Amino acid sequence: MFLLPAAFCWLAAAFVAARSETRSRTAVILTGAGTVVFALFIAGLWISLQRPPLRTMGETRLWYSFFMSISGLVTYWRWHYRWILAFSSVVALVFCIINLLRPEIHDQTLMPALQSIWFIPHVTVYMFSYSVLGCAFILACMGLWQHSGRYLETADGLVYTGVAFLIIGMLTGSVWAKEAWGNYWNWDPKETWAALTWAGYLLYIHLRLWGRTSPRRLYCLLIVSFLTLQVCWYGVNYLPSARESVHLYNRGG
Amino acid sequence: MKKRSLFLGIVCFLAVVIVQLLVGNVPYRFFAFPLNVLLAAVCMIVCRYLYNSYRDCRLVRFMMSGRATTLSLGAFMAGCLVIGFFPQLSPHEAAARESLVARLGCYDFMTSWIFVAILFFLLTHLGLITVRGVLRRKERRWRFGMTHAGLWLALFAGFCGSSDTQNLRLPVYREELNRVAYAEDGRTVYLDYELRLLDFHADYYENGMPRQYEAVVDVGGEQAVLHVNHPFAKGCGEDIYLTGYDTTRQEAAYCVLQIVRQPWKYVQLAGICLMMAGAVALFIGGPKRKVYDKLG
Repeated sequence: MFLLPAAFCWLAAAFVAARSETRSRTAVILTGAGTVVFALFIAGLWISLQRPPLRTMGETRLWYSFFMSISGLVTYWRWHYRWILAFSSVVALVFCIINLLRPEIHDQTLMPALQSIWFIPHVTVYMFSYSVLGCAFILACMGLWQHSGRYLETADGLVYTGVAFLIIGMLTGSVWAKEAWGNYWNWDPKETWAALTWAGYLLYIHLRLWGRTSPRRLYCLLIVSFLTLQVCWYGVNYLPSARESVHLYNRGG
Repeated sequence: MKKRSLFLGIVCFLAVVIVQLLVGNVPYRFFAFPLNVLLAAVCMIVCRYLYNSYRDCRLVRFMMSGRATTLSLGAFMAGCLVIGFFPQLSPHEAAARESLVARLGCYDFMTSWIFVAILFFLLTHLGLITVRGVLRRKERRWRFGMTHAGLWLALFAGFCGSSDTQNLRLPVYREELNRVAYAEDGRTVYLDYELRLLDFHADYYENGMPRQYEAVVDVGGEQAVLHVNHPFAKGCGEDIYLTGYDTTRQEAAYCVLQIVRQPWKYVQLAGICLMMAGAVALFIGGPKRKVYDKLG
């Protein structure tokens, strides 16, 4: 019920933006309206569940779609790429459609380990970071496709923001891990893939600072780093090494 | 990357692989306090000395170069991939396996010579460029200092402090005092205080999943309230966690506690705080350099 108007707003905005030579106010308003509708849905879910909807994979996908629309809007607003709203909307909607195809039982249970003041900041900061780095991924694909290095400067801005939030997410997670399990870092599979993602983006930042690496390689590094991010987010659950992970909160749920 | 640095990297890697194959994983408990502090002090003095007196030497220049950053981050990522793909087992289980990958330490990679060498390389490189950056960089010194020094401090404390970290578990009963805890490797450890369960409450959801549980424990004459995410600090660097309880009856007869002795946790926390401030500065400052590239 909420998805249809949000999807309509996002897709209409993408269409308007794609046809407009300059930044379109209508596209901005439509994306904003879609995001507000989506935010209302998340707020309603939060109230009905009586807990933050951040526990299950499906719930994190909702936040990713929400932040993706915001990141796409900010990128469009700041750098005026007329195609970015189309990509960010499609990515956001793909995650919504996955949720529709794989409906989860949203219950009120929240295991004791998740009842922490770090729960909301840790997950939302991560999801925001993922969405910003998702926009950088879209730019990298576009740069490779068009054989142009002109998207690197925009990607830099997105990567700095995404990595800053990634670091904050990782560090809030480590402080929480110390409170919950006794160690700041356990080399759990999820943590290991988070470290790998973080190191990939750090490598990008350093290579960019020296300015000696070709844009093609930099784009490839952005794409590979984003793929490791996907493994960290949900792909890790399918790896044999993740069987003993303490980060699987919807096991059997 | 220049051929000489690549050759040096390959030689060092092969040397570490040979050590790993010959002697197995690092006996990290051997480096417990005071040896870890002594070695850390020696390393820091050597780094400082190298920076002051031999900064023009080829090796030191390489260690502070962009190539070393690429190599150390690349090696760290490769190490993470091994940990990410291979299930990490206990030292005992990993030692029981006899394949080549097992002998290379892939099933307990965090304590393998290969990963320890990667971390040592990363730490040394990070330490040297932090000293150089803080002393010589004029612009954005704070941001550089906070991110790099914070990461160095957190890594350093994790690296040196792992040998001093103790993770113990013990059941605590209502009827009797207990001071016998068990380490991860099964060793018995006698605590210098006794514990007894005074009271226990558990609250459940309708589907039977625990909502929250709480234990009131007498810890050496001191009353402590323990629940998940709220450990009890017993002295400097020692925390007590509630990890489990008796689920066989209505009124739990015992609870299971975890005692973590981690004297380096404050150093790690200082590193984390510095990095956090650095991340905020990274977001606020953003990239400053304007580069227009063509696809190469």
